Amino acid sequence: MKNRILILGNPNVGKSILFNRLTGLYATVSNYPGTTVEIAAGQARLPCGLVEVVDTPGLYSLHAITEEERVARRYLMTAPDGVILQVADARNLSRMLPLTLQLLQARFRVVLAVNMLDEAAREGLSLNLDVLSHRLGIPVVGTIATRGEGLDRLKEILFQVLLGQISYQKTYELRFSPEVQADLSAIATNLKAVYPLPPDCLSTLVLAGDEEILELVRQQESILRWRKIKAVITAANARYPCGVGYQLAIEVHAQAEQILKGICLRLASRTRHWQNRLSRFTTNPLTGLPILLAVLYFGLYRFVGRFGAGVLVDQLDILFKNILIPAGANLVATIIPSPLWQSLFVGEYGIISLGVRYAVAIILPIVGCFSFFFSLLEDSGYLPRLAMLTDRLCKSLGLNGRAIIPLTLGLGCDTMATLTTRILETRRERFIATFLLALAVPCSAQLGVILSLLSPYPGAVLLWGSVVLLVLLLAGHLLDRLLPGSPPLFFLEIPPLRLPRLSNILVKTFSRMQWYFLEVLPIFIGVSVFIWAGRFFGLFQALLRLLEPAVKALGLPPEAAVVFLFGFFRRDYGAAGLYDLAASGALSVRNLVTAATTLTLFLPCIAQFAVMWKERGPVASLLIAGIIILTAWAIGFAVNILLSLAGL
Amino acid sequence: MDQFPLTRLAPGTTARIAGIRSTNGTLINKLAALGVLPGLPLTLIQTYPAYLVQIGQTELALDRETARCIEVII
Ligand SMILES: Nc1nc2c(ncn2[C@@H]2O[C@H](COP(=O)(O)OP(=O)(O)OP(=O)(O)O)[C@@H](O)[C@H]2O)c(=O)[nH]1
Ligand SMILES: [Mg+2]
Repeated sequence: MKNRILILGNPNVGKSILFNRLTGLYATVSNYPGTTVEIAAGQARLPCGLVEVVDTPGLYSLHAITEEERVARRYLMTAPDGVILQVADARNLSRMLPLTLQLLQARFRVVLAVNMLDEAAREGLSLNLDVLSHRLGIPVVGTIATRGEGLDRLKEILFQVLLGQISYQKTYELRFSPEVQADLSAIATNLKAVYPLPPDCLSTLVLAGDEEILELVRQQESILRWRKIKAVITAANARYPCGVGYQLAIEVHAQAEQILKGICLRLASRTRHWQNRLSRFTTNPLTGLPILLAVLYFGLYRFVGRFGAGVLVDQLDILFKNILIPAGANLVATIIPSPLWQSLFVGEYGIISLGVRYAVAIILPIVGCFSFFFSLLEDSGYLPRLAMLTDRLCKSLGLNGRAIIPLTLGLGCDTMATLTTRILETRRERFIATFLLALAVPCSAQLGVILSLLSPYPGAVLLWGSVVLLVLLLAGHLLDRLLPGSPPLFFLEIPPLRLPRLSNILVKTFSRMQWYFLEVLPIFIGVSVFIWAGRFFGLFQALLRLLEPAVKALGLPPEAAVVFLFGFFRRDYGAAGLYDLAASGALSVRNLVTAATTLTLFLPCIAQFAVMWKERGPVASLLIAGIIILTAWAIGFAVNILLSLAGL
Repeated sequence: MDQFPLTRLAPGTTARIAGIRSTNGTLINKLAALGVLPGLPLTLIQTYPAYLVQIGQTELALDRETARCIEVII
């Protein structure tokens, strides 16, 4: 399709926020690199009509290394026509321009949006974008995406480019040193197949040793040519101490610096801002650790646990039990005479009394509170700093600090977090992170219910938290020991601390609640229908009887079997069932801790399992599921015994 | 005026990047993409629990193993 705008650029430069501005949709915007890990598409209304706009994960250079970079590049290669809107951070142009030059080398029609002009100005940086546009031979527009500044002009230019009113005849050409140039020509002459990128661009990626591209070339070319290409790469790598890939980066960067000469003027080196000072407090372990504990206590325990899962859930549940369900029962009774069919809606496990109530009264307020709290963290830029603080801890789990981003994201929703494991470098790390998410990271709904159930007994909260954390650490440590592969390395760009914008927080919270709600409601209703039908045919009772011994072994009353049956559908559904069971007074503190621990460690929900299946494959997913059921039960068993020994 | 690993730089000082010493091609390419390129000034901000450096307007967090690969010159 010709009328397509592909948004591309380094991580965390404002691609998604521009996408939102252009399309009126909402792609998640957060202040850390690696927010977007999937392609998102929408439509923008330009003067020439509706145009497709595509948002992509961040890409440092055309030489893609991590999985999310590959997602972006694959898309770029399948959609060679259309216009590329490269978004760049005005403060770091010399680091952004190499990508521009590579895109131009690949003959793309590029429009460059130099974003975050407000931050550049605050740092005393002044940019002459007209000269830049002239030197590159492409349109360059300055923007402040958060305020929508420069957007009209950007749309105007995109529209002109789409109509072919702006010519791309004389754009900047990349040049390399004679040795590198000779290598590139040697490779290009051996590339005979048809590729999605022009030969000079492709040979640069081949010479740099891009794995995915090399694999493509190996499949497409004859053995003889492939050997010749390999020989060129090997010889070139031997010539430079850091390899030829580094040499290429140096040469492209030098050209970027050349282009930027006289364009970036530092008017004044301003005094340090509050952001800088606060940033040091968060990265210094002496102050960072207390800050982390405060964030966890106030954000997670007080706000999500006590307020969301306590106050809000109680109020909504009262509303349901005293008003909505009786009203629903009356209504159903007048419409449907048969008691059997009535029970489908308002019976013990009915659609309204169970499915809708769990979704609306229990899950939704908790997910809402958590999203609100977590969005604040995301938008301030705290997560990368947390990654830095916890890198050493993550290393003992076979992960690097970067993994703290998917792991904490999992406290919101494990399904989204499993997708975000794409930001990890190696398959080994992605597997470990996926496993830990499935085993020991409770999602917000589950976490909220459990926190509120246990919160009358602070000791129980502490015990449950320690056991789950211990299992997480042990599992990670074991995996690190057992899995072949090298220990991970940690390097991460730390974005500046930013003041969260309320509008983004609210929209993000709302969109997550909506997403969650639409995902759980059909499942919850489906479970109600399933149980209703299962009861009718005696299947439900049979399943419960099957589960009862396992539940009894955990020291739990037989009624708790239902909770675990629910848990098979979704962990949070199980937790919600626990809420009901506890409200009926059937559980002692020991029971509560045992059940909460087992359910936390229990199977991931169906959606998470589906994502796991897609990202890690069937073998890994089934293996993970099997291990998890056994581990959850075994730990629950141990906790129960230990607690009874302690006389509880 | 010899080059030495970043880990031997004192926190708070600025040096120039001399190069990367590593056999891990992916790491070299990744660091290059993050702007660790010869000649650029680099300021070491802190070293524990991870290394934090500033190159231009970019702040980078690195573990010790990665920091050891980066050679600087004063
Ligand atoms: N001050 C300021 N902040 C901005 C501007 N544009 C974006 N931001 C902030 O930069 C952060 C990153 O924005 P995103 O739109 O998520 O960036 P992205 O490029 O999609 O990031 P990835 O998906 O991680 O690659 C957010 O916190 C934005 O609020 C701007 O013009 N000025
Ligand atoms: Mg994004």
